[in-house]
Amino acid sequence: MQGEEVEVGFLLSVGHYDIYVLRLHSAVHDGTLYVFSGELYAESKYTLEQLTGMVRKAYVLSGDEPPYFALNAVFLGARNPDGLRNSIVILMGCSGARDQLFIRALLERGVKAYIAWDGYVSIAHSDKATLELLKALIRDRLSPEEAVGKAMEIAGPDPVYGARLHCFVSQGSETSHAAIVQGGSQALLNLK
Amino acid sequence: MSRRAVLLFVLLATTAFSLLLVFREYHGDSLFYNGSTTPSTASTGGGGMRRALIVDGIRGVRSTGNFTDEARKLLEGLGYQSMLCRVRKLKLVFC
Repeated sequence: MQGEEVEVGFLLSVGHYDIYVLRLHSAVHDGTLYVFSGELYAESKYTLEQLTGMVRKAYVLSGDEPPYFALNAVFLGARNPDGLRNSIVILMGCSGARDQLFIRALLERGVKAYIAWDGYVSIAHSDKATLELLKALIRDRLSPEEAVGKAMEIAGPDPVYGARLHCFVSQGSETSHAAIVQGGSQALLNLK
Repeated sequence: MSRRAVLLFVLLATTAFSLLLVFREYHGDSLFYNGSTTPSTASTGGGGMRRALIVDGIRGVRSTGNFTDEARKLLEGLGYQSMLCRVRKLKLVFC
């Protein structure tokens, strides 16, 4: 699905795939990650959702584009509570690794691994790194952490912004005691 | 029927009609109420096959190496279920 067809409702409904490659703009606002839809913003639309912070008016950095609706990432696939279970989610936009609450919620929903950038990234670099990541994950059958390591080895951090890919995986069956392993640095974040 | 009763009836009918319009308008674009639990990206069958979804929501910025095509080819070549649809001359890619 591309461009304007990627509406907010679509992002709410995704589910039941093994791998999600989300080539979407994304941004963090007040600590919360939002993923951009391709749906143009209208003040009178989704009124209640705007008031509750479920969707926001969002601009891309390129400047001359009109505002779009962006969805609070925690609602990704929310219409399919089990739809993301055992999947690998790759977010290709900016700063996807910067909302710990979202990542925790995603892992608690059974996502096997979540892979995202820790800052601004150009789409050209994200394209390149994500292709390497997919090759490592699927062709070479590496674990998500290893695949991220390999993709970063080949593509490197973003040449302009320096962002790096990170991998978050759930450890253990008890989601309430889930920990997050950050690929590369292996930093352990306690999510109790 | 007295004039007051007629006026009251008209007032009530107008209010009810307005409420109905507001209700329909609200539910028409509400994400909370609009839409079923069935994903719009519903399965195309092929039980047991691995499936990947590529969502390209970036308008105006096309990848230098045509990312979606390359990713789809890669996934298809490695045994993932693939379906290619076209919507408004844009590619809708389900792999």
